[in-house]
Amino acid sequence: MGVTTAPVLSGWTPVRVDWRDGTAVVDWCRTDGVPFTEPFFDQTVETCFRHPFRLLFRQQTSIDDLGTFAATHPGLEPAGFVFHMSRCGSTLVSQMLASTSAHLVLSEAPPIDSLLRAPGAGPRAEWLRWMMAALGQPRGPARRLFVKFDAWSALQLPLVRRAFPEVPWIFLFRDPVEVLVSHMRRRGAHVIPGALPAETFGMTAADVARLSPLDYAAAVLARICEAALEWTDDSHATFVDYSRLPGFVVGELLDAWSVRLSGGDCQRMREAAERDAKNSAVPFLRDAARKRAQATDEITAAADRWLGPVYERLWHAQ
Amino acid sequence: MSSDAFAEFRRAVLADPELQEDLLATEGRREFIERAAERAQALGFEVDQADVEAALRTGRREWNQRWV
Repeated sequence: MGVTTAPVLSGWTPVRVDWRDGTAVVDWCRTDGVPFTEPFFDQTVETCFRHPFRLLFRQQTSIDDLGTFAATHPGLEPAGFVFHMSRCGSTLVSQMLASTSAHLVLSEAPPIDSLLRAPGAGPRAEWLRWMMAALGQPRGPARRLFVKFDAWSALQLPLVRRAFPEVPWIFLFRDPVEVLVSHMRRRGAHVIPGALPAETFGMTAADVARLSPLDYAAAVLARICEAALEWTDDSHATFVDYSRLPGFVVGELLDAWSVRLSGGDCQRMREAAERDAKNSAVPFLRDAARKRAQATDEITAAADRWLGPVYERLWHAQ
Repeated sequence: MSSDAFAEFRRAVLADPELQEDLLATEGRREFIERAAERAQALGFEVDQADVEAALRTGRREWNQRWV
């Protein structure tokens, strides 16, 4: 009779979830000793892969093995979630939170996205808790975990709230003209027609085909914002406009999330706000006025048509 | 080839903590390829340095081809 040995996963981190014939396969990379300090999770994975061992020798397990691991290796409890409409300061917020070694911040981790959009039926809330435990394993001096989700994950708020009913969260948004100017300059994946399935945003393929690329982008952003607006009565939710950053983070956000930091950590957080969130070698520049100046008549019209009313509702939700 | 032999070697590595630590402690891509081939052959696997390099290229290509 064969004996199956349970995989040893301590010191390993899920980096991907694949679906094969409707079954989840979790792909793990050896990450012990690697600090998770890059702005995005994918960048941390690339850092890991600099050592060929970590690229070449990964483990693939079932999702049940993920559950077994989570049961015996509880991760840090999430202290706050960041949802956002994209191009609205979410990376600035996550980098400010990550500026102290007391915090582990997961930013747009693909394994989380994969489970949020898992095909078919399955205990997705439970899977999500298992994945959060595996990703949020204690790392160095970190004692708090924060998670920034992908922009389109706002449409999965019902699932996230069911899985983590006590975790506070914020929804970041920004003047739609500024966001659309940013996307027209360098499009995010979620605003490219066909990059994500149409049903991700409650659309059909026919809906997508009818829209110009600009209108599709605006429609997607509107769906993200509308999804968040369904939660304005949630006592765990805070809605924040970009114009309130970065001061909001060091002040109201830490209070709302009951996070107490030392004076040194607060100073590090303020200094992080002075650097470009995606490239710490570059100083942060406020570019709202520049973006509005770059807006074409078409961008302004699309922002008004698709996002005008929703932006007003978001503003009043603050 | 050796892709089957490499797959078997990979399974052996994942089952052997000492072997994992030895390979993880080997810095430098060239040094790693040499060490991996050396350890594989010591275990009786028909894996040479070219096989390790090919596995690295395949692994990188497969990782890069995942959807955005």
